[in-house]
Amino acid sequence: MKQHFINELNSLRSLITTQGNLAEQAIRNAIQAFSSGDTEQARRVLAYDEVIDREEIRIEEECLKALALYQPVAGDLRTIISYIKINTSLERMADFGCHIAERAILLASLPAFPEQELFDFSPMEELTMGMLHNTLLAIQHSDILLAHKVIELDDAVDAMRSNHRAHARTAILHCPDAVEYYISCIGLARDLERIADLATDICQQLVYQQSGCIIRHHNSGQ
Amino acid sequence: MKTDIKISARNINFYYGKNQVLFNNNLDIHANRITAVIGPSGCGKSTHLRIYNRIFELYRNQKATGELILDGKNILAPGIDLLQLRHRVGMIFQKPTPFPMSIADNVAYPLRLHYHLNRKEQAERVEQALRSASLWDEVKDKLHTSGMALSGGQQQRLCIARALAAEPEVLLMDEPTSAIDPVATLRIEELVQNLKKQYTIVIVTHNMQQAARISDRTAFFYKGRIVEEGETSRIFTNPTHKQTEDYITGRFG
Repeated sequence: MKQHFINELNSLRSLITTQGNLAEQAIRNAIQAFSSGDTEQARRVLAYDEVIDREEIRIEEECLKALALYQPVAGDLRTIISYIKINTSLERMADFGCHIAERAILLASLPAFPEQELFDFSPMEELTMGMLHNTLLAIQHSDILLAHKVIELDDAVDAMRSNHRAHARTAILHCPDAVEYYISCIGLARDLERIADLATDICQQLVYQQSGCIIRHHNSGQ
Repeated sequence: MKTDIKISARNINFYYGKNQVLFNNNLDIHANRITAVIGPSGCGKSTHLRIYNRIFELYRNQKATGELILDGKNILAPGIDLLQLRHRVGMIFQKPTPFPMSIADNVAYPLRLHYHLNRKEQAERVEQALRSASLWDEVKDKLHTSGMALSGGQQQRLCIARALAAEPEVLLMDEPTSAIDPVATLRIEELVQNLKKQYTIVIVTHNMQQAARISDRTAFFYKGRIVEEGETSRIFTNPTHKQTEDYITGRFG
């Protein structure tokens, strides 16, 4: 019985890791489509979201089945509860990938824009995608140290979003004709920041899973 | 939640002849709470339970040392009235043990031992005990038939009624549902939870889900020692000791 349950946990972790890889790839493709204006790539991201949605439901059902059949306690219980929450976060991340893909399609429909006026999102993209990638590694290897490193980067992404928003406001005043482009930029910065937030949530969940300590909201009173 | 300590075990050791099976254990039992005692077979949990009413003294070559403080008085000290102690600390065993007599006489047995009641008073107390044990409705029309004729779950509730009739302060339960089916088990669990308003309950169980469901506090025994003790909700979500975690998650035992 116990070995069956351990196999079940391993299988769930494998499903979660695969789902994480799918979400990561969708977001990466969406960002590429935004930068390059490749609307076909953006549409492929939108179409693929259905697969990620279906997988989310399957993983949740597997988690519920494991809860009902094995009635786990202690670390085993925390693991399954964490997988349920992580599963939801991964699916929402993929949804933000879709938002970015939709922005890419909208942007492609706008008139061409002088290159020197374009925003450079690459530092924010790199930081966010790095956080996401390390989050998936932390899930795969139950690596709490790596999870803590991801959590520490969240403030940097928040600051980047604020900078982009301030920059966009000024740019809109300077060049009101390009308001659609700048609004899309504010939206992209927001989507990236939300993806980083979700990566942080997942890492906090991993800390709970391993240690039993709930660390989210620790700074909320400050 | 802060509660009073009903029983406090201090530096308890126990020996079967020269073989020591409990080692310097300390455990507080909170009043009007259910304390579950869990651990693998042979860890000493039933032995520990049997110290609370000194029932081990019915057997030869068994000895407990240390202090067991019940309401401020060491009940392991010499000169304790054992009949009085077992009146205050009742016990339910693994297998239902109805006496070979009628249902009513089973419940009246301790009343005859401890009280001088007239027939009417005795009948009232029998009814009260059977009601407290959630058995009255099922047996009220056959009080004079044999207790042995009841189902396993009913027999166990009869034994609980018999224990309750003596109006104990503490109820010790040694795997009270291990010999009965799941439906009867749930009835007993519900009953035990209702009883904690009036009694302090200590229950030994091998069933992890049962300990998690019904107890307020849990003590985990391993190889004669108490490894960990605390609020059940914490023990079953975030135990401190790896041995506890490994046991309750079924990785050994």
